[in-house]
Amino acid sequence: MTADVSVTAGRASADRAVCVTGMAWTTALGNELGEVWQKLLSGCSGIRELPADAASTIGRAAGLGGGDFEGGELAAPPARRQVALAATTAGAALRDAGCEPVGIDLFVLGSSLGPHLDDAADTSPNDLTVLVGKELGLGQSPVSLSTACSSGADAILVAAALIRGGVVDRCLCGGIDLLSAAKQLGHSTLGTASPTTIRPFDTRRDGMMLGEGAGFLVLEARSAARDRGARVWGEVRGWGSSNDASGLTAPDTSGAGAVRAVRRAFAKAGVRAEDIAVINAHGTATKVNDDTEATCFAELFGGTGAEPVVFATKPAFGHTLGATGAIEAIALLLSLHHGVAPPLPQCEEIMPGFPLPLPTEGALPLTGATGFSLTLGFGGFNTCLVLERGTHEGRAT
Amino acid sequence: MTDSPWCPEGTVLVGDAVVDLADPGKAPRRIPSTYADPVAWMMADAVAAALDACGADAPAELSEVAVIGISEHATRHTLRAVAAGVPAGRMSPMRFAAAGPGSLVGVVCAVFGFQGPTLMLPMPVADAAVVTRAMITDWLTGDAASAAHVVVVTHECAEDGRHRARCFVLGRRNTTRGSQLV
Repeated sequence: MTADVSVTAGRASADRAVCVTGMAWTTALGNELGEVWQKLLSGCSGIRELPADAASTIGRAAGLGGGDFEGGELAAPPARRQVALAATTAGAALRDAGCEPVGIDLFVLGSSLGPHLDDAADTSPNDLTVLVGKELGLGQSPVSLSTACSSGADAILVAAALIRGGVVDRCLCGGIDLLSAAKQLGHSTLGTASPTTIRPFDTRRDGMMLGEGAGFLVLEARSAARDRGARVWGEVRGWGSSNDASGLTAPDTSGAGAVRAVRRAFAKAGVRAEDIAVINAHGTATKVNDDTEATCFAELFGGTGAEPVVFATKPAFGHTLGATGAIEAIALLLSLHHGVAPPLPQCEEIMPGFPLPLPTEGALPLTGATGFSLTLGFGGFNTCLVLERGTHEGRAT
Repeated sequence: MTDSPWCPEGTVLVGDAVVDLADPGKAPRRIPSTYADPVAWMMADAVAAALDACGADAPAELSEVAVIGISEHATRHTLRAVAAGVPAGRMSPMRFAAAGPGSLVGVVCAVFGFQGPTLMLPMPVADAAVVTRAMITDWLTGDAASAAHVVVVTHECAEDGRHRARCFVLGRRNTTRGSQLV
């Protein structure tokens, strides 16, 4: 790592711009970026009946199935499976970036509960993060992060802040969470799980459905990406976060906390509401979450004339908890890259007062290069990432 | 007042405190009828003491107070208790909500009303120094700063079993009240 360097307030140099040069995900719809994107565009869902022996209290969820996940280490006990899934996905992000582990300055891994409610082994979150780093061949001490459902987004936020601040040049960051009997039982007792299906922003919404997965990105300072001729998916333009200070499970339904996070991200990115073409919403389909987001969007975009398209990926991937922020950042970058927002066919009757267009009838084309992803986590964690499509034929300049 | 190891350039230590307990369960519960991991209440105790130490310089605008929590031990007590009931299908929703390490910071924010940026790092305190200092810089003095103060609250469990929570309240050098933060 380089020495602690302060950024001149108000102006980050172009060389410290934060580029996304690699990304990978493991989802209930698969793990190839292009293949999964096409399934999202087709309105596919990975939610399915769980095997009868899965100790399920919910019955349906977006579990990983098929291929590598039917045997070997990815079917191992929870702690081993967490490490294997993180290492597999993070390794794919490194390959996508064309980057060797030795070139990574910092590894940031976010997870909400990990395997710790389901595994008798007395391991800490950090123990598992260290194991993932060792499996990847990373040299330095990793960063463990846990901000509930904002964990994956906050891992990206931390990595971006350290790059913008001149502390490091290249980070591997992301989030992971596994589906487990304990998490199903927990969300069932909390009343957050839907007894029917997940329908974000629909009048009939009645809860979420759990999923599992992982998402990892390689972030680099523009200068570092340019020096090695890296392909650039896009840029992390800005980031912002806030806390609702309202308790462990209830969001601030006034939307004020979410608005603060987004406005902080806008300020960091130097963008206005009018610059936003697309939003990847948290979209859990719980009543309070969707109400909070609708209120937030109305406050942000009311009177601006801007009408970004809002999409949500949880009907496809389920709620992947600590992974969702990273998976949704990847989905947003693909949406910007392809100039289209994937459909939300599960939303048939849009909730009254929802202020922005939703792709309920099919995928919608985009007319801009910038969007944001918003995550709202238990414990009041609100995190917003402002992302921009890559330019210059995909190469850093 | 001496500078703390958490003070990057351009920041100043406004107040700090240490709470040392053999049993974190002895820390007072600051929100009635709410279950939180004992470490969360202990962290809240350390924050309260540090705010007292700030005196007249204590943060006034709660939406501009950021929080970073650091504890490798984190919510281990609650994780174990919840996990023990899973095979029998027993689960308290309140304990489940308090099992995630992030709940430590969530409780601190709920107790004191802090609404700035927040992070929880479930890792050894010493290993978190670089990332913590970088985030303090980003929030307090970076471009488009988003906080006027940062509360860093750490927790460690010593080999003799005693628990120690430390809190540092940091501000910007020459912070003026009513600053135009986002």
